[in-house]
Amino acid sequence: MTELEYLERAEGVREKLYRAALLTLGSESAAVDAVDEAVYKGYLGYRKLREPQYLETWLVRILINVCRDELRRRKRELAVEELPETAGEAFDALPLKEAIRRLPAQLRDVIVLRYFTGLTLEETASALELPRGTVSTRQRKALALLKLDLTVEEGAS
Amino acid sequence: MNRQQEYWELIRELDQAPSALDGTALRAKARAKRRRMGKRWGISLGSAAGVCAAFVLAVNAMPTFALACANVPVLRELAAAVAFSPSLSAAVEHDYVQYIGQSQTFEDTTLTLEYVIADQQQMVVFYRTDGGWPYYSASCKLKDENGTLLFGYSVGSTTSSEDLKTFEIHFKELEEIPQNLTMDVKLWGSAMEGNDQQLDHVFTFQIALDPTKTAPAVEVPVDQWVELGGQRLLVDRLELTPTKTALYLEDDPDNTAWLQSLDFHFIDKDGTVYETIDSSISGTGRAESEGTYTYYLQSLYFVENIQNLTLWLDEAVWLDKDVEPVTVDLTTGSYTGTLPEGVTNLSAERVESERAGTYGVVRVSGKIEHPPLKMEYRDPEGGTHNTGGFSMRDDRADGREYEYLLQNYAWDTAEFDLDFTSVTAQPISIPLH
Repeated sequence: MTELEYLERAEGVREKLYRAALLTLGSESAAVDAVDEAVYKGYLGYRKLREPQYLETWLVRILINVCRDELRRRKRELAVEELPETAGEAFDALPLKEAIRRLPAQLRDVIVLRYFTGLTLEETASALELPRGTVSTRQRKALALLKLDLTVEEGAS
Repeated sequence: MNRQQEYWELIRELDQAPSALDGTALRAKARAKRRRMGKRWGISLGSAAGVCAAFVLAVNAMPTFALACANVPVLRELAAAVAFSPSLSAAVEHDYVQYIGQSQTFEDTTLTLEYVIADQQQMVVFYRTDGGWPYYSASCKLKDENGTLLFGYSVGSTTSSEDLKTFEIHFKELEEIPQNLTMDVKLWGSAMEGNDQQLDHVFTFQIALDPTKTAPAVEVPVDQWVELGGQRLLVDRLELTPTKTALYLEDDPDNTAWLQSLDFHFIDKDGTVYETIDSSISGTGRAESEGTYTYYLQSLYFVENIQNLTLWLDEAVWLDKDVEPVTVDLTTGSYTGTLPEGVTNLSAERVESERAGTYGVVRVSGKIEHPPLKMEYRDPEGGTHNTGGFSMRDDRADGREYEYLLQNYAWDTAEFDLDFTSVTAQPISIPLH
């Protein structure tokens, strides 16, 4: 992949990355910073990418890890706490955007990628480096907690 | 509005991306270009003249460094403070010490920052305390000259009763270290080691770093793929600074396990071995994977003919990417799940004690050199807990035993994540041609 190709494809995927970052981190400026960081890390490593056709999925994976780092940093500052999977009623009471942010991280990543970034089940599994079945299980759990009735086809793109 | 309507409303809201997002790829390119130019110190060498040149060691004029230390009181004290560290000893010997000499007093405590050894990997700060406690440790936050907080570094400090103490600032992702820094230092005092109490005060120092005493990093490309335990690793490069050596690795995306830790050393043709980890940090992870792919060792900066060294990768510790947690039952002593390679026994029980109340104990033993379980664990309702540590004993018939205590834990079962799944101990050599 050439540098120009990387720059064009990274710029092209920025809005998808932004949606995932905004839902995970909750603030516009933090989301823009996270996208910048992910695209920068991608720039440093795209030459070593063995399957350039999966650049977008790879960038999503980097972004998820950037967001996790940021959340870990915030956790030390006692920011937003995740709710456990058992807190069904608490999720019901929250607006959808807030409920997604407070999902356990494993479930939140799946729901953000599947239904707000437009990744397929296979792409989500690849981005999160998980078996397809695990993604499917987490997707089912997350949708149940959020009381969302979305079919497989309803992933937004 | 029901959840479905909320979903589509949210999709519409998220479609309106801010204009600040435009140009993200070009920003990445510009940032990478700055990185390639090196971590800059912000001023020209000439303008630094006289800033902090009060500390001149002139050890090169002496027959040996040891003799120099014996004859100069300041050097003797510094040499004692860095004796544990071959890297810092070499940095002192090669005149990479910057004199600070600033003191501040709050109530009955005086903090003096004496010296700094700084390079692009880390800054080691030597300080002195005069106050009511026998032991002190310190931490700090860094700001640039505009007062903006800096990020991308970590601070390490051990509690010490030595006269000259140190703390380390490890620059992980901070790319441009300003020449003029504000250092907000907090102190912890204690009557005994490990029983620290924070002093309710921030000591603020303005520091001007001297670029002439900050050697630029040297990159040594290696660029060699190796196979360890069925996993492929690219040994990419070394980065040498006066205070440490960084070894950068890359993994193959097809690997089935993350590299958790790596033991390695260098040896030259005369048999001199370089194997000391003399920094408070031995490795760092990265954003795009869960493993640890950057490792630190004593500095090779002052080693002549680096191409005569051979890198030996001695032992790699792996964690399978598809690893599943292990669930222990404190009532039956049983467990479900797969334990790390080498583990021969896991027992679990609930203990009731008049003094300590009710707690759970999980013991894991076998031919294992590394702790098998992470300290954070989960109850059946999804709540997270932490063992806060583990104890280890080597007198078991089947090898080493690790014991984890589950304090004030009311549930019958607990779910633990593994800390590793397998270990590869088949050394591989890589000559640095």
